[in-house]
Amino acid sequence: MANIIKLRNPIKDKIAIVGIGSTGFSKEGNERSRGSLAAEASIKAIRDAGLTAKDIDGVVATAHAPWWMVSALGLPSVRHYTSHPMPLVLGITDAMNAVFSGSADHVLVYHAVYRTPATSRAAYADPFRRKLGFGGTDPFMPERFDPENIAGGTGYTMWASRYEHEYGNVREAMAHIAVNSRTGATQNPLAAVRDPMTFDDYWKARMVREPMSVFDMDLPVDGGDAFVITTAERARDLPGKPVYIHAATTGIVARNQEDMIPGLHNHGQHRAIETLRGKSDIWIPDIDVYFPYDGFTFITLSWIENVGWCKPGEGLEFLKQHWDKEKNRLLINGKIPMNTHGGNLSEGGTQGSGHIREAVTQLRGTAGERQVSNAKTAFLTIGGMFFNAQGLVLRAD
Amino acid sequence: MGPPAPDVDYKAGPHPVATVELDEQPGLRYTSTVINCPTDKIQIGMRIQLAWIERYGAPYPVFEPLREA
Repeated sequence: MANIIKLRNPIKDKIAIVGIGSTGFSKEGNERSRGSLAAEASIKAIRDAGLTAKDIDGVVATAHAPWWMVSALGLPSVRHYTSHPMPLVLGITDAMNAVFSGSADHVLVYHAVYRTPATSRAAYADPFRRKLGFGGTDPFMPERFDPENIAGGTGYTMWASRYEHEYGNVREAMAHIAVNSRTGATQNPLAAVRDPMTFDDYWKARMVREPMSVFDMDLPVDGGDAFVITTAERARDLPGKPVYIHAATTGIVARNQEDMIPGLHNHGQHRAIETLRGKSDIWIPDIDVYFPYDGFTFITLSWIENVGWCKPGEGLEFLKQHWDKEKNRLLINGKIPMNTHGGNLSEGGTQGSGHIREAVTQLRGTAGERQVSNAKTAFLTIGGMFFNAQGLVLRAD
Repeated sequence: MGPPAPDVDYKAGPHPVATVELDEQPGLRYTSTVINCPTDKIQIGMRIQLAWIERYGAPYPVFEPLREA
């Protein structure tokens, strides 16, 4: 990016993530409700922060309503509660601003995912899930359902086709992203699928929507993640190692629906990157671990190019050049791994909560066998291309 | 993998979905399907025209390859 426009960022490093909790993720079984998964993750996050129910005075939700959680956990002194669409950087940003402004001191942010008929055959067969909407919310069946709707996966299918039209080789590039995520998941006990994947496996996968196969789409799973956010000052009194929010943003263009974005070269990702660049002192390649969203492999390819790891259309060349054959994963400049937890593709489709939780885990130095040595900075580009592009830079001391 | 969608022949191979930009207003796009054309012949940039099918007992706009006048 030639011109960096510096932007105000008075909140930089002043807010910290001090607690994380996760249920882990599964793509089968599970007779629990989505609410119980969200509650379990939230209780774990509050305990992880060294806090109790009475300390939590802010609740930021995605699908399962904040008032439900306040009631479920018996939180007696909540003064800030909001709900946001996904992905989760929206919720993290709201919690960050709420703490900075004084709306609340200790904010719980949570996100639970639940298999539904739109994405899971097993869920369609389950009478308790048959009528659930995306993420487990509204009734799934609108009065009218036309197959030419391009919301969700179909939209990315079309833009991946557009990429193929402009540059070619889109499947070979996407194959690297799918294999990389799976390699991460093999080392992550929370992941829904942990069997290794070869390139051969990728090419044999069932085609779902040309050019995207079943391995190009995130896994429908059940599970939840939660976070506790407070001031950097307060974080110093708490038991865990704080992870600071260095910069956060969301990005959108005027015409942002799936079939309306101006093109591959001007959409939400470009706006998110410009803003993040203007706010962050930390930038690629001087980071320790990279977390691009991988709800669909094409989104990741798009982020890699739009962040500036390489030029538009050169994603495949970049992925090949930085591919570690022995480790079966991307290792940028021989040292920066990508989606160490397995991402949406293999840990499970969590709309960004998994990427953020793993970034915090890496910066705390508690990632076990997948720990990135001495990780101090994590760079996250979350969400897709339409109305949901987001960026987050996290750091630790 | 939800319930079957209307007007999709699941045995016939992929159901095409196409976003069309209108000559009348660049930037104005409409997403529907293309009929009367083999799926593998549908290309980005091809010329199409409006057509109508019946769905849910009402007219529904779709596209088909342009027939030269």
